[in-house]
Parts: sequence; C-alpha cells; structure tokens
Amino acid sequence: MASTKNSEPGLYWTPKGGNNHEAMFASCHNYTSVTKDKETGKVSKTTILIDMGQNEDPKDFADGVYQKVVPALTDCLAIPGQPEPEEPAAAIFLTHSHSDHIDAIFEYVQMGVELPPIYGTEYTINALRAEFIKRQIPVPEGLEMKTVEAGDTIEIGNMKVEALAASHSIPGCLSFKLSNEEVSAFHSGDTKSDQTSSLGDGRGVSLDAYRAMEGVDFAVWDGAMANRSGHSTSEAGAKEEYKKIFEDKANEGKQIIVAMPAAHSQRLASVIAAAAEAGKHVIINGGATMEINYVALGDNGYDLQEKYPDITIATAGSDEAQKIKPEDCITITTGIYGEKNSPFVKKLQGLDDSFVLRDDAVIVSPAVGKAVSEREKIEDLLDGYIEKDPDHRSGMKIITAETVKGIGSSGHAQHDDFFQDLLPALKAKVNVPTHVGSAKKAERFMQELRDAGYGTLSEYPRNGYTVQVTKQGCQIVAKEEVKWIGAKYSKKKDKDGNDVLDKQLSWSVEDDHGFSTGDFRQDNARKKIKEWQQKNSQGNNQDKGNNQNNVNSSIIKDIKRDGR
Amino acid sequence: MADEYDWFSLDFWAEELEKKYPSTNLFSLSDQKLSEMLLSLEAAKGMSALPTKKSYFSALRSAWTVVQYGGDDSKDIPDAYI
Repeated sequence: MASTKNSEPGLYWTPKGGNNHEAMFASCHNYTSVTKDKETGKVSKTTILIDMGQNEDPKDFADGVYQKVVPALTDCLAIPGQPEPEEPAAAIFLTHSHSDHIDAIFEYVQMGVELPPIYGTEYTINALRAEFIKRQIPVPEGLEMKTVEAGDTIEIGNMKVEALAASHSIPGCLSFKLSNEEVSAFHSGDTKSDQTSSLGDGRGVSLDAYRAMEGVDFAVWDGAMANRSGHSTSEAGAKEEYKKIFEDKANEGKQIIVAMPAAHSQRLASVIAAAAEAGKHVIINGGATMEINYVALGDNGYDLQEKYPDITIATAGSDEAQKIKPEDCITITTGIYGEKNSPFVKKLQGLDDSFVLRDDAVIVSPAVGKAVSEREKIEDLLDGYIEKDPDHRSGMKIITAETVKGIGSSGHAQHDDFFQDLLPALKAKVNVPTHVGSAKKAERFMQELRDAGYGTLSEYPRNGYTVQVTKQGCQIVAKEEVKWIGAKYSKKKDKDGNDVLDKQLSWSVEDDHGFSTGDFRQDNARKKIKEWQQKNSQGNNQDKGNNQNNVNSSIIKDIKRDGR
Repeated sequence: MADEYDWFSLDFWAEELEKKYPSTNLFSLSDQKLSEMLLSLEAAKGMSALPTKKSYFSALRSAWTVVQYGGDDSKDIPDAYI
C-alpha cells in the first residue's frame, strides 16, 4: 500500500534513529524522492537510506535485554516475517565507517535481509568488508558494495545523489547532495570545517563545494555544533600543541603517553606527525581497535611509516618496540574514558602489567565534557594508581584539554566552525540538526539558527517524523512511532575469561518505549517495559530465532512532552 | 579435518598462530612473513592456496587482536563520541 504522507512531488526525509530524547543512538535516514510526470501525471518514488547505524548504548534500551539494537526499517527493507515494505530502498549510501553509521548492516545481514546496493568511499567499503571478515559473517551473495568518491554523482531512480568530501575523525568521509527535478537537500554526515588534517591532501571538506550549492532547499546537519571545552577546530593546531608538549624541556627524559579514542585515526595521524617533527619514535599500545585502525590507514593509502621514515612506528610487543626506550618515544594508547579494553586502563587497575608505565610518565589525555563524567575518568584511575605508591609515583602528571587548550578531540563541527564556516558557505533555506545527543541540544541548536537568521523548522523532527521538502518550503507531514530491532547474542570467553559477544541468536521488532520522546523516563513507559518483559519471559519467541512480528506503526496523535 | 575450516576461518588461524608463535605481534610482521608462518602450521597442510590480498592479512591481524586482547568492541568508546 502506497504511503499517503509523501504523495506530493518533493523530497521527504525521515530520521530513523539519531533523533532520540537522549543519547546518540543510531544515525539512519530515509530519503524519498517523489516526482510527477508533467504529461501523464504519473507519480514516481525513489527511496534511499543514508547510513545504517547501531544504537551505541544498547543497555539503555528495554532495560538492556538486547546486546545490539538497530532501527527497524520495516518501511523500506523486506524483513522476514514483516509486512512487505511500502517503498523499498533502492540503495544505501554510507557517509563513513563508524559503528553508529554502519553497524545495522551486520544485524540485517545476519537476519537474512537482502540489502540494496551499498555505496561508500573506498576506505568505507574496505572497512565494511574487513568488519564482515572480522565478525565472520559471510558477505551475502549478490550484496553489491560500490565505491563512490567525492565529486561523483549517482542516479538512483528519479533522484541524483552527489557525493562531497567531508572532514571527520577518520578518512573517507562523505556528505551527500540529493536532488530531483523539484528540489534539493544536503545531508552533511559527520563533518567539521577543518581542512588541515595530517591525512588531508585535499580530501577533506571543501567550502567552495558548499558555496556551489548555495540555496539548497534543505540541509540535515549530522552531529554538528558540539560544544566541548579545549577542543581544537584545527587538526594542524592540535598537532602543534602536541609537538610543544613533546618538545617541552620539562618533559625531557620522561615517558610521554598520549591517550585518545581508539577509532580516532585522524588524531592518531596528527600525534604521529607531531612525534616525527619532535624526533620521537612512536609505540602504539592501545588495544585491538586502535591497532586495527592503524593498519587500516596503511591499507588505504595512508602509510604513516612511509610518510615519516626518520622515526620508527612500532606496535607494542614487536621486536622494534623492544629496542626503543620509553623516554625516546611517544606511547599512543587508549583509555581517556576509562575503556575496559584499554591496556593502559588495565595497567592502572592492576589487571595487566604488560603496559610499560614509568613512574615519571607524562600522560596527555584530552578527555573533557559530560561524556567523560558519565564514565570513569582516566584522572581518577591515575590518582588511584599513584596513591598505591606515592613515594615513587607522585612525579607522574596528566595534561588534559582543560590545562592545554586545543588538544581536545572531535570529528564534529563545534559551535564556532559550524556558524562561521559551514552554515554561511552552504546557505541552505532550511537547516535541521540530527544526531546531536539530545532533544534539548537539538532545540537549542534550532533556536540559535533562528536567532542568527537561518531557516529551520518550528519543531524538532524526532525519529519517525517525516519532513516534506518542496519549493514552497519545508514542513513536518507525519509523526510515526519508530520501531527498533533488538538482537540477542551468544557469548564466548576471551583469552582472559571475560564474556564477549559471539553470534546473533535471535531478534525481534520492538516498540520505541518512548526513547524518541523522553516518555521512557516516566512511569507509564516503565510499566510498558515491564509488561513487555513479562510477555518475553513467557517464551514469546525471544530465543527461538523468530521475530515478534509486532509492527503496527501508528501515528502519534499527541507527542507527550516531559517538561523540557 | 580441512573441511572444517578454510583460510577465512580467521579466528581459527589466529588461535593456531598464537599457539605456535605465542606473543608474536602480527602487526610487526610483513604479509610475506605472516604467509610463511601460516603455511608452517600443521593445520595448513593440504589446504588450497593461501589468499594473497593485503586485506586478507589485515583481517587476520584483526582476528588475532581479538585473540590477544579479547572481546568485541563494546568496551571501547562509542564511535559517536569521536
């Protein structure tokens, strides 16, 4: 049955996972292009998806009974046991290879869903293929993974999809401009305006390309306008700050440890560049994800050892690393958020002694902000470590982004570069935020847009809302309750005897439980979850490899507010 | 026995390598050296030709890091924060 929400010519955008009440959740977007033949009056529709992310905090959904949670794309993918999709997606375009943008793909493939062709840069497609192999999920026969690079235009049905370079925290990131004969829309993906990455060579965002799109009818800004103190909007500036620390006489002869997020490849490159300029070798000792990402850089044309032949870049434990004295190198590790997989964190917690940590170590850890306070800060762990042997360890020191401004890490546009660079370059008629962390942030974001004279919607488009883009303007034309797919996984033991996820066992389609509206914090949502759990405990298909087939998408007549 | 696995049974080969070459960091080895190590394994006897693509060895190193450090990525920072 054809949908009535998009019967008029135009473009239609429906966020599927990133616009929750709180938390980042999954970036996933449905775009439908509707055109009408001027002679015959025949209506043509083309639907694509941009990104298919996973919920990054599955424990927050349905009291954490699922190990993986992804948007339920029942309206555009043929899911076993579910009604046929109204408007099947003709393609999936990926902005980049982060888990909150691609990981739903692995869930759908394991569910036996046939996906349309997937488009991404060579780096993104390589990352996708590597993940299939790493997870030991066979790539389905017939699944097409196609490369698209900045500057390419792909025609899908009645829609044109133009790829543009984006600057994020990893290589191979894209924005997309979508257009049909009526209107156009811009989807930023995760990006910032910085063009000074050590991985750069002209592959980052181009404000000239933005200017060439001036007057685009609608723009969706993904993850933009973060506000983190100590953040650097220039990767070259961050590199210089690190270099100063490495060359600081006060740090001479000491072990310098730089902590960063494991998947922040751009910052890894900046720190290695700073180390090379300071004449320091590099030892990478951040755990599995960091090592994989480092190797991925080399596999995709960013061989940093080749770029900096005067220094040795070695992985911890290698023969090369054994030959380097701690004071002659920069040790790059993870752990700024107290990640349990980090060898540095394990060392501080006394769980693993293999990480070399001298009593005079200078630790550079740019963790700042709310995201950190919700987790165990590396400063706290370090304090605990020092307290165990203060006579020897009191000489250790930590440098954060609050003490040295400009070493903060983010691949997202901050307030300044968003308002000063991106927005005025694009000059879209209507701008909306997506995937910014919370409804409160998004609404503040929209108010700032209005205050600055930029067009936006009158209401924050939550997950499941559909925005119609026409020449006459943009408006919300539907408010449907989104669904989620929760997947349960078997577990296996790792080398240390810890439980880790193994294979997808079962999955089911779940209601939103108020996640997109904030109602889940209220008693009625808790009650709803309890009812669902009772039903679940009675054996309703949960572990039988079946879905619950409970899709009854309904229009929300009255979106409850929770006093924001 | 060779029917039970192929060259893309990465966990298996990562574990076999760890057994024969404990604490050898695969990231510090060339693809050529890694090929030689794989072919030296008892389980490799009678196998078809080893893949030669760079991406294969990268994926094998990824599997090896899971053997080494354990776990899925769920204990890392969510990518959304980066």
